[in-house]
Amino acid sequence: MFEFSEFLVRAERRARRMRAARATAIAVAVGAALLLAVSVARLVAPVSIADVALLYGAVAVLLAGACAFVLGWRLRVDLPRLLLRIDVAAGTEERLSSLYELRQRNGPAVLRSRIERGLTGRSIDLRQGVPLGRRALVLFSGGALGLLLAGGLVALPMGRDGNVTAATQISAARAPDAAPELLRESEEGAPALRTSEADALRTDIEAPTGEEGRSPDDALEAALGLSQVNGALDGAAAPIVELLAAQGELLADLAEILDALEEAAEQAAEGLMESLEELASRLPASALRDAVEELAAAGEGDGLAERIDAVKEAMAEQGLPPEAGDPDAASEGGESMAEPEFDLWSPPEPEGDGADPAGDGTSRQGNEGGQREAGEPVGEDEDAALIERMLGGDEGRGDEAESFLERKEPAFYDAEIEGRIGLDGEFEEFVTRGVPLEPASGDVGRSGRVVDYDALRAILDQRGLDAQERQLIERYFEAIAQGEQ
Amino acid sequence: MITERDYEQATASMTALREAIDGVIVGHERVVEAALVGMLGSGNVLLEGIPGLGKTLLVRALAAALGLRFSRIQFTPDLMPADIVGTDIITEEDGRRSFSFAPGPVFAHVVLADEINRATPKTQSALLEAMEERTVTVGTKTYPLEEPFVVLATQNPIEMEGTYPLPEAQIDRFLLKATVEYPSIDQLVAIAERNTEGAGVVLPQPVASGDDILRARRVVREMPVAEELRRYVARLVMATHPSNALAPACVRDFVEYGASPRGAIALVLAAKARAFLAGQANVRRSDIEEMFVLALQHRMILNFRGEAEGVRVAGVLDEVWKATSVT
Repeated sequence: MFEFSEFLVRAERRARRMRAARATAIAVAVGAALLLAVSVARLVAPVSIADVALLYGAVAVLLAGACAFVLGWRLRVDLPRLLLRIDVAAGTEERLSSLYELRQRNGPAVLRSRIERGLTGRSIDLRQGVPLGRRALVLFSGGALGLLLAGGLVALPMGRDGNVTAATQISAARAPDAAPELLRESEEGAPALRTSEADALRTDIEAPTGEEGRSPDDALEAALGLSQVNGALDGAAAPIVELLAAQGELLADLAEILDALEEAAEQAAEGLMESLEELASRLPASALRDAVEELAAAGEGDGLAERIDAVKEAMAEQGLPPEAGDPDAASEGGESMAEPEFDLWSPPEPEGDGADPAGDGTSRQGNEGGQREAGEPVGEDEDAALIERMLGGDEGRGDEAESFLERKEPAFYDAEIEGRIGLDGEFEEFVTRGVPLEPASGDVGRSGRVVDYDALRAILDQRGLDAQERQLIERYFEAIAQGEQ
Repeated sequence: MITERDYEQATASMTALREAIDGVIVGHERVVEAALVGMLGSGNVLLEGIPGLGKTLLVRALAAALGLRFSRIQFTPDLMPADIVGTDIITEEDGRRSFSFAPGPVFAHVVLADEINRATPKTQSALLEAMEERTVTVGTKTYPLEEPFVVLATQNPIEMEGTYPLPEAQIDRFLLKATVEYPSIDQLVAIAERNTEGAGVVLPQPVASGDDILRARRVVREMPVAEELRRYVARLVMATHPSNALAPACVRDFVEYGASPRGAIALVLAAKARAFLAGQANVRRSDIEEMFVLALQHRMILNFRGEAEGVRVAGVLDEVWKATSVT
């Protein structure tokens, strides 16, 4: 005899199972499609989505699939419709659905028994009546494939930061043009520069990269790693790899330049000490000589400011120009050194006449034509000017330079961001990471921290960089910035 | 609640009835089946066909095989309602005169309304109450008709001059409308043989009774129809309405009015009766399919375009059947 109750349980279970599987397939397919779309968008558009976010997305897709399975399993099964579908598929002439109808309304037993007799001995394949469905299979396969593809795309390093990709393509395409010139200039060597100033310059260059958590070397390694992956995955990425490699070469060149500058700065510092010792030997025995000797012996150690103050006081006692040795000015300089919040980055104030006793501009090392001629006789006034020039020119500038060297911070100030690259002042594109002196185009017109180039130039003036060195550095950044005038 | 014995007896009587009729009628299986379905479904059947195809013989054979009271009404233009339902006549008894009711031919178990479309609508409508309510009202008195009661009407689709097509309200009261087709050559040979040799056509002896019919009707009404099949029937009927979303294009193009809810009832009932006649214990989709056109074709009205283009209602229903899915 046909066991209708048992069959009903089996049919209902299978229906729940298949419905749950279909729901899972749909959920996974939809979720995978979304995840895949996001992954692809991350590759082709400059959107920044963290890997972990996509990982959470994948987990969410799997959770959605699990929830869909549970929901599909728990929802009520429409048994009359299910049984009719099985009837049609199995060719049982609507006996199953009619039997269910009779059972529901407690119909005549004679009819029930006759229907059951008609079903006895028939093997009813539930897979025909309650199939999973080709569409569900396709959806599930597609969903799984989509998840795999999304995972593969996430694994690509090029997809980890859209900004890097887009910006690198722009800047690296232009960098090779400037690379040979930079190499040639680096080989010519750089004039002497103090070690502390070289460090400060290096800090200035590296600081923006540090904001992103990468040093230039790290960036180079990341870029080269990216190029390797690109080359392995897609031959079309070869140009990008070349451009990134060129950028890496540029960074290596910059590192060599910095090393050369550092070495030159050490030599310059030694020369400065020798000059101070020579100057002290030429001075008559006096407080000024003692102060200069102490200064020469002190080097760059602590107490340098006090020794400079002592020299200036000695100069004032001997009737040297007050601008060069004004104790008040020295005192103000000391205050500014002790005051980290001093506004170093304001535009440089016009210098008074007293800042240049000779009136020929020799007191400002950075001025055009202010270079000291070799073999020029040195008198007391000139000695004082030389000392002051060594110490950083006028008091304010010296304080700014000292404070800058101590703080080793970039020259930023809050202002409305203006576009400086591109046509008509609008940002058409922006330079790559590592040259962060320009804001992204989206930031133009908004308030933010921008670079005060005037302040930077003033500080470079105070550091005693000659025109050739400054030109070399400026040209380096211009070569990278591509478009800054 | 029916019993096993009821079912067995009903099945046996219907089998005997079918065999008895088949002994007289050559071919026309679908028409015979429609007549039996009408009988078991407590309905009336409209038989349409040209004269001489055996419609009257079929009805007479059915009545004879059942041993039921049979009456034939030949509809003519001058036929009056009283000629059908009966009338009060003056009778004299013991010197006293009084009115007494003289039942008309409608007071029978099997009524043959031959060429029903030849009578006037007034006379045609005299059958309405009998067909639907199983009662006859004369004057102020209502007389119930004895069960089983069935009206089998015939009409000639060709000779339309001087005829009065049945009004929609009346034609809707027929459970089924069967078209009597012309017999095939073999069937014609057999018909000629039976009518020209020996004693000619002999009506069958009663093989079932009115009680057997009533018992079979109870069984038929207990036949299970799956819920989804009932929904299927509803969708089929709704698909005959041109304004319904389920309607196929041909319905929207050629149909003015679709089948009424009485059509759905007729289809389910006819399917049940057909399943029983087929020896089944439940209604199948094939039963619905067999009864679909018979139960609905006379309930649909074509629009002007459909009439002008000579669209057959049966063809439209075929499209409806194809366009409607069972699941």
